[in-house]
Amino acid sequence: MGSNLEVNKKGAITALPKTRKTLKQSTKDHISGYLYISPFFIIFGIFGLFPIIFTAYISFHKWNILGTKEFIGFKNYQLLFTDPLFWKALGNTFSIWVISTLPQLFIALILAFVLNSAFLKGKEFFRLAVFLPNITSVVAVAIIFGAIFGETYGVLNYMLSFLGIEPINWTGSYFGTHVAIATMVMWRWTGYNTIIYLSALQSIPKDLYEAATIDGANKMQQFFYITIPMIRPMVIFTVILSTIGGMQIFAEPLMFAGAGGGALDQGLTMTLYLYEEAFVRSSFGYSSAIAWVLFLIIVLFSLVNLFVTNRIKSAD
Amino acid sequence: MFKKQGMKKFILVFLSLLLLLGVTACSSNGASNEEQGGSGGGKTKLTIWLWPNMGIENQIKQYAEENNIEVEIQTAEFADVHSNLTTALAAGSGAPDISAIEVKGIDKMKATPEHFHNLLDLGADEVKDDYLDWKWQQALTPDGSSLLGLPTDIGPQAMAYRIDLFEEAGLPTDREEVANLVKTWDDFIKVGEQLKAKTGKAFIDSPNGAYTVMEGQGDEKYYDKDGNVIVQDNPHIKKAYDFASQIIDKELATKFDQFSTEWGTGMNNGDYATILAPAWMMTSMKATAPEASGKWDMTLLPEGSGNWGGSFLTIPKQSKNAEEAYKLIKWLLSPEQQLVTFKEAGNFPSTPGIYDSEEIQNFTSEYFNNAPVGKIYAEAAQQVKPIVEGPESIQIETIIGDAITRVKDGQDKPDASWDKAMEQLERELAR
Repeated sequence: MGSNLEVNKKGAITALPKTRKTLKQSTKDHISGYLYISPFFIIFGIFGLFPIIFTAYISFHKWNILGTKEFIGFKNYQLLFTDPLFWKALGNTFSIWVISTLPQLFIALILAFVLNSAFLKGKEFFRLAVFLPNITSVVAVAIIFGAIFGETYGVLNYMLSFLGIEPINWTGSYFGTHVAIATMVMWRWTGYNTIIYLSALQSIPKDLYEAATIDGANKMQQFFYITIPMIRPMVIFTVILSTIGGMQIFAEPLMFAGAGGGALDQGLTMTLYLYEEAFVRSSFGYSSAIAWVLFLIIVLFSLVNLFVTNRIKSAD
Repeated sequence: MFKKQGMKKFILVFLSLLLLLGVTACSSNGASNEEQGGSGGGKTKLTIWLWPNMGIENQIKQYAEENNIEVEIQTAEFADVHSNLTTALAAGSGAPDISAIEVKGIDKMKATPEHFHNLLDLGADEVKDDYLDWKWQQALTPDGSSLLGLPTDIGPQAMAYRIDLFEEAGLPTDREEVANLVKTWDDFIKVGEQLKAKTGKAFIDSPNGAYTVMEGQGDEKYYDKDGNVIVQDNPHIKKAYDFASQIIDKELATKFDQFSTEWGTGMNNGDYATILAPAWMMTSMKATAPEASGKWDMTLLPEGSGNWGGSFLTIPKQSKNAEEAYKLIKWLLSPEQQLVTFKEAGNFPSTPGIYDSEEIQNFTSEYFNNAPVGKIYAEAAQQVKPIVEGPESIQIETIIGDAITRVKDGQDKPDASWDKAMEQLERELAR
């Protein structure tokens, strides 16, 4: 190893005078500039761009990973759009996304407001406490929630029984599974969004509130007319992040509903379907097609988000 | 005043940090342990992939000590072992020296035998006669030129039953009498109705279990001998499905999914009276419901036994220590060592030569009220008919299993659910 380095050094030293003669200073600046930013592009090329292109390539083949690839053109895409499971997976993903994101962001906002208020003691502790769920392992979370949502021995059904509600089969129905998965997502990510909102709240100048108080605005009015407009960019940021996260939800449904997303496919999300096709059924071509469609859907969503964001900005 | 507040803040931050450390401590501990296991000296080192409860870990460690080699056993979930192996084989690196593969998985691998060391080349022919012929055939390519793995256990089946529930229902509890009571599947339903009426408890843990056991009793399952899919034309599959539907209809089963947490709790609490148990289920039962020890007993199944599960140990081509690996599995899967595994874990040997030995015949299990489980499973093993599995067996089994679960959860009528399953099957096999 050491000797190699020396050789390299020597090589570089002998090569240096040559480049000095042939290259102008401005060209050298350009080269060094590109060299400085190259690590990102090299790494992105290997781990980002190449897989994307290779996935596109595979999606035109029938391939079980161990055998040979057979070119079949657009057949995978054709099958995909007539595949009821694909549409079901799409529906499940959106359903889980809606029932997890909306309440999640709302609760996060309220929590952030409470954490930011002057009357609360031990703020640092609570701030850490709301963030803790985010750093726990998804698998552990799913196991615990699986026990909570058990039909016969679950804590939740036990508590519901006091309200006179019949035991709900959480794992065996669309409603139950979606709610259970959404709850897991909310439990994990509410704290994360709370912290983001909290930092946004703290950047609002105090004198706005002081002026409002002098003008006679109550806390509720201050919240809706000062707080919300001031943290709007952060709200948009969290909405976009939750959208991307929600489209890619994987571990929770896998752990809760089992491989395949349950008997009704009620927990089958887009990424879970992709994973199933590739690693359980060895249809790598087909799952690559799913990956590309998922990619396009996320792009479409991001564009919609961007459009809405611009509208909000221009409304200001 | 200021100082006091600063102190308070400091303590709060300190306490918060301590909390954080507590949370992360567990995970970092695990990581460092693994790293330590990785470093080794100049000894030959074999990496082995298994799933939990295979019951051979201790013997592997014993072999390693006796033969001065190093082994690293990596356990993953059952399905993950198979998908990880597929990925590693395709990637060309990362595969272990020895990997377990289940019977339904080995059929998929038989399409590409070039990814494995041919055990015939390593001298496996000399031990051929030790093993059941049908089990041996399962790991052999159709042309008979390449052997992918040596057989571990097989899964002959018996019926485990709760003594206390049978007593409560006024049924006999003696093994012989219970076996006579449920000679046919119709008897099974009748007895189940009686138990349900008297005790209010379910008779069987899961309709899916009943289905899997019953489908294994036929001459053919999903594939015929030429490798054609015959799910729809095989009357035995439909019969097993209808039987499972009947169990659901009469409410003889619990709503637990097999191997779920609630299923285990139910096993401990005596929520159901029978489990149709392949030999390897004994390990699983002891692990999930240790408190129920002595409350279960065991007898033969109605209408003979099929085979459920059982595995192979293979040597992926990527292994550079094929000779050493072969020596290990040859020793580990020899009749003598399979006997040890059976005694320790309950996995039933695939070597018929020892079935009549005293050690198997006289082997009793305390967990099952001292039932002669060795004798029972040996008898069941004689009844097993060889069945052809195919490359998509796992997929087909999942689809039909899902159909039964839909009926169980009240989401579908049996016929509609079956039709849905067949549609899905056609679509998936077309790809």
